Amino acid sequence: MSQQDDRKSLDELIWRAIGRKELSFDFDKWKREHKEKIQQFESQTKQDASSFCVRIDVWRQIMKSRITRAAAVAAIILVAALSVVYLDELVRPAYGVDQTIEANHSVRYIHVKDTDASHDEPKEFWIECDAFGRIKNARWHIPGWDSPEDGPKIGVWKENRVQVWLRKKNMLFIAGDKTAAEKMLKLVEDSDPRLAVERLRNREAQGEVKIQIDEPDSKAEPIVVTATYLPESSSANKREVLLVDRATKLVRAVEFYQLKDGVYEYRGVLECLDYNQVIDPNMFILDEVPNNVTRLDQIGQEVGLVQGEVSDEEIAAEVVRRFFEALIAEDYAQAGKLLEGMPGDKMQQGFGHIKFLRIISIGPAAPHPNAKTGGLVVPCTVEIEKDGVVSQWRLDKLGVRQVFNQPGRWTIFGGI
Amino acid sequence: MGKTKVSGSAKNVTDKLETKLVESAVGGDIDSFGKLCNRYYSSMVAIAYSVLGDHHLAEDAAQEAFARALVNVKNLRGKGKFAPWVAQICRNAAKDMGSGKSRQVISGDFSQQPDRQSDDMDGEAVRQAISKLPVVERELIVLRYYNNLSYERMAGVLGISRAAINGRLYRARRKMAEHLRRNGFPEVQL
Repeated sequence: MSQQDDRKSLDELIWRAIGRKELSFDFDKWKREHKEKIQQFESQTKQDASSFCVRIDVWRQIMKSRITRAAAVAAIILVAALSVVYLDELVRPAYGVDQTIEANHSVRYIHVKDTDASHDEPKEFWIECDAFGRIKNARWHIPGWDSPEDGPKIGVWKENRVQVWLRKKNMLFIAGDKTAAEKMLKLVEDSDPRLAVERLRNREAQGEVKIQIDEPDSKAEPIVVTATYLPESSSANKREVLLVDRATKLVRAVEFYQLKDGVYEYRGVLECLDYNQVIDPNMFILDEVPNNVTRLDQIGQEVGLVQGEVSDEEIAAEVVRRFFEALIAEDYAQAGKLLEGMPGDKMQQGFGHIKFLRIISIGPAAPHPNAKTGGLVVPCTVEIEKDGVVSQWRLDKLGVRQVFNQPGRWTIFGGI
Repeated sequence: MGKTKVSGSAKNVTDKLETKLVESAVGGDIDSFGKLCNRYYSSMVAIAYSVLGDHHLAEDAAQEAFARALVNVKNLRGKGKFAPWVAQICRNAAKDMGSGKSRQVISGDFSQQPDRQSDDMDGEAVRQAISKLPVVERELIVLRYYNNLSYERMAGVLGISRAAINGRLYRARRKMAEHLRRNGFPEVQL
């Protein structure tokens, strides 16, 4: 392998490895080399021609009759007249984003696939809207790559109640608070193409984005709306390309690009697979959860610790302290409240075989390496006894964040 | 912000011309068929090359594909599907050629290039990386870089959406970069 100090462009390497100049096709030479096929093609053509002549003769017979001739002429005039009307209808106002916003009001059901360029498995959403266009019911499938610690997630939102099943951990979160529901819905709304258009219009009004609309003559081609965020925008260096259906004015897909080294690189696509195809109501029921799932029901109990006036770092460290103090006291119900509301019996199953002796160190808290969690990581060390052996247990990735449905309350969510 | 209305775009004019050519070819006009072959020759050679890994064989396969297409063109359904239809015929022709006993070249074995002009170590590494790709991604890479086809043109040849091309090309290039890095190649810029 050659030793290069400078980073090379993969494009350049591939072109050099396999690139070729434009090839030319010598059709005359090809005909000489494939005479048999040419003859076969020509004999097929002769057969078709003879049957066509038969049809011509029939037409001539028909036109000999005065009655049929008059009828044929009338038909031609009628078609010509309709063509004039049809052409007039083709002269329509140019497309405007408001047409899509208006068309969105008619949407009752939508099925969306959100594909990240770096991953094969997409996120998928099914949404049912009410008469006002607001989300009424929703279901989402989130693949494991989005949050490797949690693994794949399936969620449903129905009648202000959220259920999220973490398959890898076999845990089912249940939250009923409106705030929690809205937070869960944000995930869905971020992938709702209807809102993509409204967001663009709002941002254009604020001078953050430049929009270009390309409206091809062919009705088979979608309208292309290119939204380029300006350098001063909070989304600078980003571009979104919306493909809008000519007939319905609804968004078919949204492509996402990021500016890198002067080129807009593709980052992913949101595709609208179905509009207004009625979704089976059973889609919004989470019935695939196994019987032995661990239920973390955050509706009927207080979870976590109230923050009060202390800082995020301080409350995170305090949650960890109270958690291990509860384990030292073998108060599994209390420890479970500080671990997303895990039932006490499940806590005992998980930790009962370890004797927690004392806390050696906690913190300092730091931002969690996975920013999507919105939480902190609190490294800590505890002394334990297991199978008669005393040792120190170091936890470097203990994660703490706010409880979904109970803002201002903090809980451990992972890393243990 | 201003709206830009594009009327009579080059792509639409080209599509209309092609539709007429296909109609004529289906109707028995051999010259129209020849014009279509001329239009897609490079793409078909690229597709065959992605299977065979040999330039000369790839040209043979593409010309054989046109011969097969000629006698079946009247069965073509959908005048807008000519290119994807011929592309599939070309893949089959290339596979038939690759399995022929008269040649020892292994299909898609880009690292065994009998006609490689120079001792190009970088090129060998890159061709090996291409050969490791799944068939679909390998074909996309070759289509893109063999003749510098645009994404629009590739979408027309393969009959898939531009979004699909975007995603698959991105993943293919990531895989190639990772393969090169694992095999001691200096880090490449995607």
